[in-house]
Amino acid sequence: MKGIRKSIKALLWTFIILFVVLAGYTAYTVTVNGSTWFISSYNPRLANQKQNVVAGSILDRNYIVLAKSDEPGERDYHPNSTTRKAVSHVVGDPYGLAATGVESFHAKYLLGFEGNVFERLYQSIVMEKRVGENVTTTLDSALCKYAYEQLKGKNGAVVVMNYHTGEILCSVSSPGYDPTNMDAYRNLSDDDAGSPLVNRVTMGRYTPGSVFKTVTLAAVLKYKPELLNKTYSCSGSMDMDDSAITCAGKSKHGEQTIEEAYCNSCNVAFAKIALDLGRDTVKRMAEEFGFNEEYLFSDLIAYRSGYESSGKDLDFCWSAIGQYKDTATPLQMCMVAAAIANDGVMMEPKLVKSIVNARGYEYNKLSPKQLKNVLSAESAAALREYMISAVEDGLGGRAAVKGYTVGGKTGSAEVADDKSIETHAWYHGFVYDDKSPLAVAVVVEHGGSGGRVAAPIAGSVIKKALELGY
Amino acid sequence: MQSMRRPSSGSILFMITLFYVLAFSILFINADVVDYRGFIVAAGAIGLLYFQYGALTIFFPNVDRAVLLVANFLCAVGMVMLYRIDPDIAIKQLVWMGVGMLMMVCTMLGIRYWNRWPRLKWILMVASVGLLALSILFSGSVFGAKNWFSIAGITVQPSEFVKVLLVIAMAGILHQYNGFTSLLTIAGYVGVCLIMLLLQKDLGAALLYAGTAIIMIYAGTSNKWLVGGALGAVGVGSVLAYKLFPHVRVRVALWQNPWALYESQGYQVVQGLIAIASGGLFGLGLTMGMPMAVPVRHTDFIFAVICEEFGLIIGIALVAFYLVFIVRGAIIAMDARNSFDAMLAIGCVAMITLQCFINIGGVVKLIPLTGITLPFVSYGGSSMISCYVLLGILEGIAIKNGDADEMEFAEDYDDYED
Repeated sequence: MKGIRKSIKALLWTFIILFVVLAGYTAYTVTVNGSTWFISSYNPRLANQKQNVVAGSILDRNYIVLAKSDEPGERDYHPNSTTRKAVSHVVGDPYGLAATGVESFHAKYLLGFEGNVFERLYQSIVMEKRVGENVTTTLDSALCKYAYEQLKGKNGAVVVMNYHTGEILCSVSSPGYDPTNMDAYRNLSDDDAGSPLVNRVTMGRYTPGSVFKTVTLAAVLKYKPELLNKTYSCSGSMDMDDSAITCAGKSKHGEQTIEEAYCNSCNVAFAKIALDLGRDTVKRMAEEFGFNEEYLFSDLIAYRSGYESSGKDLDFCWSAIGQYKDTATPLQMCMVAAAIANDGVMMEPKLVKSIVNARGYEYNKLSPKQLKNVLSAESAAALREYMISAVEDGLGGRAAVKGYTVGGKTGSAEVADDKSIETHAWYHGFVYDDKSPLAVAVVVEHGGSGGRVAAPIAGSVIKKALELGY
Repeated sequence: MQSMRRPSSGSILFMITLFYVLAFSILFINADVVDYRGFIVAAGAIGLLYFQYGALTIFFPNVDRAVLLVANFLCAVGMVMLYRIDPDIAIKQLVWMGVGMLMMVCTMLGIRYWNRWPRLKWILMVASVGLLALSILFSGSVFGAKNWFSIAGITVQPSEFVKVLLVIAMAGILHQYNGFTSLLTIAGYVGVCLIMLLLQKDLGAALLYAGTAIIMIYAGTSNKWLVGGALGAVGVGSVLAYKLFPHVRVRVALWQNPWALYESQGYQVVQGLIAIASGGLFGLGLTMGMPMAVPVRHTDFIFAVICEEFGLIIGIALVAFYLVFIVRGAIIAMDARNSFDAMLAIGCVAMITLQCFINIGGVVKLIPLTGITLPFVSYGGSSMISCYVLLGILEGIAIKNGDADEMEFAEDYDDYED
């Protein structure tokens, strides 16, 4: 009997642990995944609630109405069709076809699921109709419209964020869609890369090309600063394995320091730098910047940007120059530039400024959150200088804004072996100014040269943002 | 000590009553059409509660009040939810609750006053295998087997009743544990039961039986190697089942990513998860949710429906209530005066524990979904009766313990007098 009692005691502890795990897991999984499950298109409660509740409005940061309802089941959007399209991916559509917009992602506020017991009691007693809550976004709709026009109908994306707070001021994906005419998009497949429903800022996984050199350069500063004293020679091409690393346009850059190689965007030099750094260091740096990571933020979800290399030197060298299998979302590259400008601290991107409930009470106000500390302040400052000189003396010249210190890096990412297919034009950078802490990323699909196509767009969008007082 | 032990049972009883009254008032007010059946169900449930609790505590002062109250509260949550889903089902459940309570008292008396249960082990073993075989026979073909059959319009699920037989038979074998022979008997018996359950595609019951058997073996032998070996055997068996049966593979795939298989069978798990997420921490409120979107809402997925309307916080509180039941049950087992009673009690506790874990774990996607009821909450006659019988066994042993305590106390007192 004594043995049995002892075993039962042990079993009881096992049962208790089992149940603590069960309760803990339940709480954990609902907290982490709950909002994703809730906004799923399989949730019939959303459609049902839309018929019973006057859905809340979606506003830009200056309280300009981007979407609103007067009656249950109805939805009106911004009167200007360009603005509608420019903010379409952030705002979303009434049917949840573009599932990552505020309309779906924050449906719990808009449809009043989030209100507490007292709020619901108050509404059921005082108000005739149930009313949802308003979502104020961090977007500036005028800036979005301007950026959308700068893309001139080409497929691509522009994202601007405040690197001190993480607020996204402009997030534009072209082509946009018109939420007042969703029937036009119903038959599009999810895999269609040209689809207007895809939010290219967060879901566009582009080959980054030379903008990735910023990451490789960060690895030098963080892990092997002694390499800065070395010089690297370039004869336009370097044989490796059964192929070669070549520079764009077969340019011969000659003998260069790392700073010069970055400004010239020299592939051969960066291949040599990568070999000096080693596989693990480059991968580690990329992952510290957020590559290979799912972004499930409280305000938005972004696809994973990927970094990998293989056992072959050729693959590894190309991966350190942003080719091989590298992918990056515009948001990711914007966050990299933002972290460098913000003394190495990466802020969590924010899209919601506040929630305003039916009685006008404002809550869930934006509070900036540090995502991670990527670089030391010294390394970030050094890297910042390189990026500034890449704009002042290098290929990013067209991104310069008069009267401001601008840093950045261009990229022309090769997406096919066929040379007749144009490269993706990239630019990522920042304004180094304490009063206007802006980071930007631009991608134009098959736009050609980053310096000629993406940098001027970034420059004019930044200029507009500065005019608007950000 | 008296006042320490029984201060709050009356107030807990009152709280359960209050829960019934408030919940049924909300259901009555928010109903589209006036439905007086709500009164009948509420009055019936409250009446049964007081009659059962009153009669038991008056005639058997040594019954364990905690397990009884927890079981009654769980039933109350189940009744409210079932009435909200479908009043017709709730009325049937009320009948099953009454039958269950009656069976509980019979079992309790049987355990208290008849002490030859261990001798029945061979009969019980044959009966369990026979009962499980019945559903295979009745459904015609072996591979299309179901885990239920019907007699006179009433659907019977034998695996629910065999749960009880298994606990008693295992306790009967283990209380006279004699090494190899006992183990061989258990392995043969449990093995045959598991194969039959797998043929009926009743994976949940198979998991439940295997788990309970291992727990009882550990309690009876304290042999860690044996438990390790048994777990290993279950592991090998699971891999074999995975390779042999397509429906096992489907379950695992559904667990890994139900969203990808939404169109075929994933919708069950997905809608359960969506319901829980829609409820949030404090729930949408009774009658404000959409339980009709959740498949098998009144049996296997009732936990998701409860979370939707009452909130995650009540869902977790429910887990805590089960834990109270389990702790009290284990204490009854540790108090038992002979090894058969101890084994019997821990067997009942193990059954309830695992059943609760397998059900809720499956709904929240901690483990693969296997299709098993939530004890005392889910709808189902067989399930309700078997849970009450397990409770009856626990209460019978609790009374025995209490009576033995009193006797020892009286003897001590006599000694003191001399």
